[in-house]
Amino acid sequence: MADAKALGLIVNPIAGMGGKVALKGTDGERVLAAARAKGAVPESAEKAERAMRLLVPYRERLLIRTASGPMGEDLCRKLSLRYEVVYRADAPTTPADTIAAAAAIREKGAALLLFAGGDGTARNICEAVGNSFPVLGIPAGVKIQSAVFALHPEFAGAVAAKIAQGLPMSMLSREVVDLDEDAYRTGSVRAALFGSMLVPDQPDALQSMKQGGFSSEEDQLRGAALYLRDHMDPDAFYAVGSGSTAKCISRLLGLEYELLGVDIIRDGALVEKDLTEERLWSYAQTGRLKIIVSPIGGQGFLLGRGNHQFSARVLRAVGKENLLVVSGEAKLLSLPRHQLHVDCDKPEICRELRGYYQVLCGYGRFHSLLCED
Amino acid sequence: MSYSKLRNFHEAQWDEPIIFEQSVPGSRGILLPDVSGEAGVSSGKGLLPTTLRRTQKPALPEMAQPQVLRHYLRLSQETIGQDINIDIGLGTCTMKYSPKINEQFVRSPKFAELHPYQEDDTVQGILKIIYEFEQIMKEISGLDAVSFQAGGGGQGIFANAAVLKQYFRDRGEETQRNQIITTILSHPLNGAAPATKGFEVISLYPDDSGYPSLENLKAVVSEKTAGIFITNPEDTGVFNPIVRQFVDVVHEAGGLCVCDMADYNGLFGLVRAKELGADMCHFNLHKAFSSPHGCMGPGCAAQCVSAELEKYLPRPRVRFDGQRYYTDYDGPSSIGKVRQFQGSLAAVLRAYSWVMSLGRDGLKAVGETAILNNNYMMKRLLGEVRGITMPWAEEAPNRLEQVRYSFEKLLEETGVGAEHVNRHMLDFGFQRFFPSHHPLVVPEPYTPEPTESYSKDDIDEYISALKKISDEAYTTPEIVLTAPHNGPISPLEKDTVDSVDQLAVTWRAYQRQHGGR
Amino acid sequence: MMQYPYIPNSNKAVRREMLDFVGAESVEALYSFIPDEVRMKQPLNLPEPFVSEMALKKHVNGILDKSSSCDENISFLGAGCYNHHVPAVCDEINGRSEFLTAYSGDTYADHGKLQTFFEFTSMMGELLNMDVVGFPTYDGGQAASTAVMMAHRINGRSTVLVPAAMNPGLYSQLSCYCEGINLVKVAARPDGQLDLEDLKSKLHDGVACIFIQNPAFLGFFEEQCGEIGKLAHSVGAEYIVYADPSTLGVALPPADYGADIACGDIQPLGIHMSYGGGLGGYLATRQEEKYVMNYPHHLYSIFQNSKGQFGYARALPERTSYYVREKAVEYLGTCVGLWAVTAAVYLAVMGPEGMRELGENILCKSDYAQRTLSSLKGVRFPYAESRSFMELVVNFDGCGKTVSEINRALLGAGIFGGYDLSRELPELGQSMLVCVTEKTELSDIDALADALKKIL
Repeated sequence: MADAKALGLIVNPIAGMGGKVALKGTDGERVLAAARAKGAVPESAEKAERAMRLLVPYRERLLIRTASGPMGEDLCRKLSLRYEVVYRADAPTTPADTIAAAAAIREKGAALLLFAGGDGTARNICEAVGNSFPVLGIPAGVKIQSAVFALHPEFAGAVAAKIAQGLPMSMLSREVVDLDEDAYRTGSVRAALFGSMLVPDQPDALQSMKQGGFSSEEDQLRGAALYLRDHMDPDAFYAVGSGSTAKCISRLLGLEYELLGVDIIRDGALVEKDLTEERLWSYAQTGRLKIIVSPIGGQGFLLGRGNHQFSARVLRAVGKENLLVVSGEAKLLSLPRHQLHVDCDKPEICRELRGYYQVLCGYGRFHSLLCED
Repeated sequence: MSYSKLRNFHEAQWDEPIIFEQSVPGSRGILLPDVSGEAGVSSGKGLLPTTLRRTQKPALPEMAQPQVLRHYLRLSQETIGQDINIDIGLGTCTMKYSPKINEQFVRSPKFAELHPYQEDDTVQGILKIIYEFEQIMKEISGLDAVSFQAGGGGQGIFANAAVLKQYFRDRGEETQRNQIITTILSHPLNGAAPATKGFEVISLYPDDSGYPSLENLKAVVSEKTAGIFITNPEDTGVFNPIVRQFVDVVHEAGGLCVCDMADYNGLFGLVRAKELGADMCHFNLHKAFSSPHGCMGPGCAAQCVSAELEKYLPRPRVRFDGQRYYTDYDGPSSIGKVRQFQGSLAAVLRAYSWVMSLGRDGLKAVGETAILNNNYMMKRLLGEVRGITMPWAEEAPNRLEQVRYSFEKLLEETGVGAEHVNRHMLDFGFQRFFPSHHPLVVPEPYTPEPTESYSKDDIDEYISALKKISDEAYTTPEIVLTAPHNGPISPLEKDTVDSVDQLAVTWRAYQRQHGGR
Repeated sequence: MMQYPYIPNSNKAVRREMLDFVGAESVEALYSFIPDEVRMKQPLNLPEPFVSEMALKKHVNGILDKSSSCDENISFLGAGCYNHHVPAVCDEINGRSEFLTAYSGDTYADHGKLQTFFEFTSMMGELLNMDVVGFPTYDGGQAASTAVMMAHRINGRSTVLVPAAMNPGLYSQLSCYCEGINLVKVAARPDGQLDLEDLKSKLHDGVACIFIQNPAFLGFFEEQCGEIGKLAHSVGAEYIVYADPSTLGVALPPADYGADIACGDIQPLGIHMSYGGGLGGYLATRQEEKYVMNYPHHLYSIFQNSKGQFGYARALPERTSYYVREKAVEYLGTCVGLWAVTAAVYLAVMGPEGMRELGENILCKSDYAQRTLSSLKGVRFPYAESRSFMELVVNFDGCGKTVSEINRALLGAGIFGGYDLSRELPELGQSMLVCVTEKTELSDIDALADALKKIL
């Protein structure tokens, strides 16, 4: 028998409590207290159990590195999984505990860190482990916008089971986004991009099993960037949206860029970095503005998630035909029903932006997908 | 629960060493006569330019003949060909019986010992076969001219892409019409081969019906469109009922239509390229036309085109002047050669014989039986095997000769996914199944194709294995997760390389990496 | 419906049972969703079938018998397809049902097939002195085309220098395949060797690669192969050598004189000519990322499990079109797997000594052929100064007859004369490419000389 495989587990015991009582997330102690007062009970433990159950057949060869009590220890004991507590938290737990637990697991090592929670939890994990440590979210929160979660808890368990067997798994970089919960509770949806994490290539599990350490996604994006460069109108302004995919063109051209912001490039040069909506609007008024964006993996939002500078008036001035979409193929496949979405502050503008987009996935390689609002 | 007809199978496990490990220096497997004396030469090697003489002999194994034969016979026994298993699993591959009589023909010296540059008068036999089979394929496709030069399906698509390019080059539109359209669920080479020929590629995604919407197509056709490369039915077994409208939209935009007939087995005598409105198509003779797959080739594509495009076909062509068959190299507009000589003609010879053994009614029986077998299997699988589903089942419930299923539900409920099921099939004596071409639009895919060669009992036995595996997934998943148990080797803990340095496609590279050289 | 031997479920009772199970009156009901507009309006118009195996055998053999093979005549044809001896074990193994009817099975079910593939690439690696050998492709021309495109992808350049007298069929294939590539022909010296002055004048930093055949299409060794490689490397170009594996028991492998990419055809390795159907291409390189990641073909890597067993799996598949469709390096389809199996058996049975004997045997015979035919009046050997392997150019300009006429006359004596070069390389005048292999008897060469004496 090979050496025991170590996996990490962090359960955010309070994630998901807001959902049933319509509180839209549990960020902030005040809201959590409100949730408890409304009779919310933890359900992340149950979601985590649904995932971890699939690891039971491999218990002999597994070691779970986790945090104390409800953050993972309790569940491991219940399922008789071998475990090691690498971080002790006081009850009630806070985001700081999640961060510290993740850092401890990273320190000790794990082939994959499973965490049960929502976007807020993902943010905390991201803060602790960054973009070089393999993680996978067990969806257990109210807000699941980030593309670092499995579709179902069982899916997360199945992916972990493959890793437990020592089956190879390629990793992809995926965005972590989070809504501004205060704004969400008032009915307005605004998401921001917080960074990215490494997750198993799980929408395409078979392919991942056969892939080595190479990522063809990188080649695809390089091809797409070359194509954009070769077909750029030297007179036009290109507003490059947020996220590492859209910035493929900036990287190719060797330009500085603001990962989470919108930059303007023209004729191969950076014109302006990290624009506000006001500044973008001034370019839009020239009639020579084009936009380069990439959908958010797992969700498919081209606009309205981390790209708020692209306001309704900017989008109307630019028009659908000047909206250039770039993506690696795996990300497109992760989209539910293979559809794109737009979301902006004016429904009529969203309607104008509906229809088919030829998403650039390589040099002169397009995938044609439907976009709905 | 009992399962009828499941075998207590174990594949041969010879534990056969790599051939280099069996080398005994000085041993000989075959001798060649030394003719130097008779030819009046002191030594053969002395006739080489000194700068080109090999000083270190190649480190090939040195073995006597019985040991070489036994080694490869043992390796053959660790290989599961269509002849020895119920090869329903490898869908899109059309694993059907390759009649043995045809092997006698291709092994006849009257075919095997022909040189491609022999005078036409000395090869009237094979020229007649090529010519007559072209007439047959003209009728089966409904198109006007056929070339067999392409050595496989991929090369067939490439050859069609080359014709497409040449057609627009002749019209002075080569630069403008540089895009082709295909669908994400067609065989990957419908994108890859035209891309190799320099086209940009637009892939359409399906909607809830399992095929792309007409609106999607209309949104991408333009003055840049050179053509559409479509497969119908696609690898999913879903038939696009509005294919004619697709073709019309592309024709109206000035493009041509190229059909991939790789999934043709259900359509004999029913649907042809002509009625689909295609300008070009290709058939894989190693699929629907019974030529054996031979460990991945040699195959052969029958490249069929309309009369207008005949001049672009690869040369030489075989013609008949009423008395004599002859090779015609003349073709100023030809795309040139995609392969040397006339192509992989063993497949043509077998396909000719196969069609001549069946005729019109027999071909219809092939297609109808393939459809019947598949529908029977589909109803049983969906009704009796837990954890298996069929995508697009609501809007597109019908399938022709094959189905792409999904084990997503099984994975969600048991942690056992398609790849695990696949490995376990071997433990019951079945070749692995074909999951899907990439990308995996359908998660945890499984694409079987019960061709006309399988009996009802064969199909029942195959389904029994799937039922058994599904039951195991729900009760004792570890059995499935650790499969195969009865194969020639135990599972490899690692079967991918993480970098080029770790690659070892030759024994010398492996030895170097492991300190052996 | 009649009961078809190849279609078990043409059985009426079974059919009824299956139809009842699926709840359909007839099979037509199962495909009733296919719209009328795409259906055939009338039955296929095909010849009447021969439903009994006996009748079929008589029919097909009756057609095949109209040909007369290289076994029944003395053949001097080569030019890209060669009449070598096929060891009986090769046919024995490639006729095995297990191999003949296998397809894309993988690591476990087809372990034996993959081990055989691995042994094929490994033995080719020894022959070529290279660490990476791809799964074989359609034919040598395809391998050459991919080699050129590899070079183009590696250095982004588009000019490719080729010998003016390269195999015209191969040239045609390169032109068709290599999109965006500018093939530039390099002239030969009077003795056939590449004209290095012309080569230098065409060499610049836009040259992707220099491609040569060794032996050249016209049969002789390119003796400046080392210098040509140095010239290629002097401008950062790749050096591609198309080499006949049957020479490599005696001749230096391309890697040893600087080739970056070796390619060629494996038909000489135990595969019948089958009117040109027996071709298969090999491609080999050093083990460097720039080459490896540019192979469009399967690369089967060896792995060892904890029990010490070896197994094989497709490595780095994300290069290939199977995985990333049109975003791949070229495309990959069903090629010639059975020929990999056959060539493996061939190389194993030949061994190093067999390959040496093969090379020496052929060298002796080409030398003998040149000496024997030089006794003929008016016959010229334009490249006599260059050393031939298997093939030599014989020029008949001094005889007042065309090669076509000569070959027709030879046919009367049961001899297939050499390949007529006058059609595709008219600059060589009335020349034929005479090919001798280990199967050619010295007496066959004498017979050719006698027949020519009568004809000329």
